[in-house]
Amino acid sequence: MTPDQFAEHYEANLPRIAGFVARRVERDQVEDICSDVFEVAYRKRAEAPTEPDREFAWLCQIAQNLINNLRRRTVTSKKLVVALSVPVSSPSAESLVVADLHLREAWNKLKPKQQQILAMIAFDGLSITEVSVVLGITKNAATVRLNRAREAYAGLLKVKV
Amino acid sequence: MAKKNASKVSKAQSDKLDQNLKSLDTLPQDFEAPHQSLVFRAVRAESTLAPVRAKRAWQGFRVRRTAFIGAAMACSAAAFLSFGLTSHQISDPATLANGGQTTNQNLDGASSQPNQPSGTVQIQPGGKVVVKVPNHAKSGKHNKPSKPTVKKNPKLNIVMSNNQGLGSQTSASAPAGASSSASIAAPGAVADMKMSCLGIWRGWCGSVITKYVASESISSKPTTGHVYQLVSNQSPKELGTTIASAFGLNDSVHSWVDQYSGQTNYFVGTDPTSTDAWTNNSAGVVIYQGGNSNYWYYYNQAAAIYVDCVKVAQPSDASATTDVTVDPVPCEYLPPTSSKAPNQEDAFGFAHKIFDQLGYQTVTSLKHAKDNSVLLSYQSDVWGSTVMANLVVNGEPTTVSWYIYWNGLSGQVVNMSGINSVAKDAGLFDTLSATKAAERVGSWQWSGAFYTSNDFNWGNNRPYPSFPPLCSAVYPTPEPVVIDPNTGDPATDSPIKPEPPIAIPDPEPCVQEPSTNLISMTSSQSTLMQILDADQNIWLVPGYLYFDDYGYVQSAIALPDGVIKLPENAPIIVY
Repeated sequence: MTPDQFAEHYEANLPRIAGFVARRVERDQVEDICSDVFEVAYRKRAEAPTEPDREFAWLCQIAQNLINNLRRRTVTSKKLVVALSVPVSSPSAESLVVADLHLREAWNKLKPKQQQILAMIAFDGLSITEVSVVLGITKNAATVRLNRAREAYAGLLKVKV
Repeated sequence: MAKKNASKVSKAQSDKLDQNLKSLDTLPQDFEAPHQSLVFRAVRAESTLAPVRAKRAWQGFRVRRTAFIGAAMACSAAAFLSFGLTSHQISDPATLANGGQTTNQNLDGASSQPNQPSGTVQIQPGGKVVVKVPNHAKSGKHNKPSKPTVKKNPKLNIVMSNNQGLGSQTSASAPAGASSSASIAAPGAVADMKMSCLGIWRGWCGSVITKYVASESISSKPTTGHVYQLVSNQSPKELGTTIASAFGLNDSVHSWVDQYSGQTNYFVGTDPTSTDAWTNNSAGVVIYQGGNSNYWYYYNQAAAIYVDCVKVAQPSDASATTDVTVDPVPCEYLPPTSSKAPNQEDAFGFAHKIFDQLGYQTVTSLKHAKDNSVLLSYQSDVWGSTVMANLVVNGEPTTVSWYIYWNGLSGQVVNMSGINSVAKDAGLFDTLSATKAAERVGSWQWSGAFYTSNDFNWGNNRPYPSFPPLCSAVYPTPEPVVIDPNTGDPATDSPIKPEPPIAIPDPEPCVQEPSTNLISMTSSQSTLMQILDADQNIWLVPGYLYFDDYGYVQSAIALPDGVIKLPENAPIIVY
C-alpha cells in the first residue's frame, strides 16, 4: 500500500480520532498526537486489521498508547501534583469542565479503568467490539467491564436500580 | 467472580446513565478536527523520515515537529497544498481593497530593500501604491524613512494558501489546517457552524455556535506594524556541508527528487528514501526546500537509546477480570535514574557553536538581542535535554525555531532541526485595530502562529459555560446477544447461557436548532505571527492575541484586507 493509498483509505477516520484524542489531551496537542497516530499506523500497516469495523478501534488503540506515553512523560517532567493525579489510562474529563457537580463527583470516584471504558462508550461512541480492540481484551470481558462500570457509576449516583 | 454492591443495570437505566455521561463530555463544542491533509502529511513524513523518529521530551516539540512536517509538505505536495489557488487568485481582483482596482502590495519589492521604505503603504485608485511616513516612524521608533515611494504595477506577493500548516499550530482556537474550506466571505459564526457540521459531530450538527466578542477594554485604535519575509541565507548544498561539518559527518551532499512533487531535496549520510534509513544506526542530514527557505533535520539514530518496556504486575481489576478472560500484563517505560545529557551551560555552548557556523548570533536574553539573532532556552529531564531556539525579530522571539535534543541515556545529540532563513523587513504597514481584527477570530484563515514561552500566561482558567445536553440520540433497540464465555463471540448452540450483555448500537443522528455561545475576549496583545503564502514562503506579520476568561488564546492577523489575499470560493471539504 503506497502512502497515498494508505492516507486515502484512513483519512475518513481522522475526525473521530481527533475527537478521541481531544478528550484526553490538551487541545494544542491534538494535532501532534493525531499525526503520530497515522505515522505509527503507517509504520505498522502490516498489522492493520482487515475487518472494517476494527480499523477505527485499531487507530484508537494506537492513540491510547501515544496518550499514555505523553502522560507518562508529562508526569515525569513536570512533577506536578495535578499531573500526578491524572491516571494514565483514563480520559482527562474529570480535570475539565462539567456543569453537574453531582455527576462530576461521581465520575471522579470511579476507577480509572471504569472511567476509561465509560468514556469510550459514552463520549467516543465506540461499539463494544471496538472497545475490546482498543483495550486488547475479548468482547465478553469488555462487556462485563462496561456493565460493572455502569453499576459502579449508578451506585455512586445513588440511582435505584 | 467478584460481585459489586450495585445491582445489575437495565438497558433503560444504561441509556439514562450514558445520557448523563454525555453531559460530562469534555470535547469543546467548537472543536474542529484537523484537516484531512494531516493524514497525508503524517504518512508522507513517516514514509520519508522514518529513521529520524525520536523521543519528544517536551511540549515545545509541537512547534518544531509540525514545522518540519510542514517543510516536507511544502516540498512534496505543492499542488496538494494550494488546491490550485495561486493562478486564479493572482488574476482575480475581486477582493482588492480599493473598489476593484489592482491594489495588492508588492512586498517583494520592499523586501529587496530591507530597511528602506519604513512608511505606511496606501493603495490609490489606478493601482498606485504609495508609501507614507507615519508620525511615530518619524519619531524614531522605527527605521527612519526616506521619501515616500510610489510603485507601479504592483503584484500580489502574499497569497495565503489553504494550508496553514505553519500558520496556526499554536493557535488555541484553530488547529493547523483545521479547515481549509471556509469562505472568506463568511467568517465567524456561519463558517464555524458549517465546519462543526462537517466535522465529527455530524449527528449533532450546529448545536452550538461560538461567537467571539471583543470587550470594551480592547483597543479600537488602528496602528502600524512591520511585515517580514523569511529568506534563505544559504543554498541547500552549502547548508548541507555546514551541518555535516558541524556534526562530524564524513559525506558530501547528495540530492534526490521527491516522487510526489518533483522537488529536488538533499541529504548527507544515509539516503532517507533507502531501506537503510530504517536501521537503528543511520545518521545524516535531510534538507527540504520550501519557498524561500530550506528546512533541515539532523539525526543520529545510534544516539537514541531507550529504556525497555518493563512488564509490571498490577493488581487485577476485579470488576473486569472474569473466569474467561485475563487482561494482558501491561508494561511501563520506567524513567532512568539520571541523565547524561548536558546541563544548560554545556548545551548552550554546543548550540552557540552550531549556530555560529550557521551564521546566527545566539542570545539567552532578549535584552540585547538584535534582529535575526537566536534566543536559546533549555529544558531537561531524566529522558534527555532540549535546547529550543527561536529567531528574534523586531525585539521579540518568533515561531521560527530550531531545536536540539540530547538523549539522556547516551548523552549525545539525537536530532536537531530548523530552518536556514533570516527575516527581511518588507516595510511598515497600516494594521487594523485590535477591536476590528477581533472580528476575524474564529475564522481559521486569519489566525497565525504565535510564540509562546514556557511561562506564557494563558490567562484565567474559568470553566467554560455548559449547555444542556444536546438533542437526544435515538438508540435502536438491540437484539439480545448471548456471548459464549469460552470464545467471547456470540454463542450459537452453546449450552452455556450467560446473562445477555448490553449491546451498544450506534445512535441515529439528530438535528437541533443551534444555540449561541458568546465568548468575551477581555484583553489583547500585539505580536508577530507566522503565516505561509501560496508559494510556501514564510512571512511574519503583525497580529493580535486575544485572551478570554477560560484560558484560551485566539489569534488574528492585523493586516487589512487586500494586503494578504485569502482564498475565495474555496470548495467546502467534506470529511
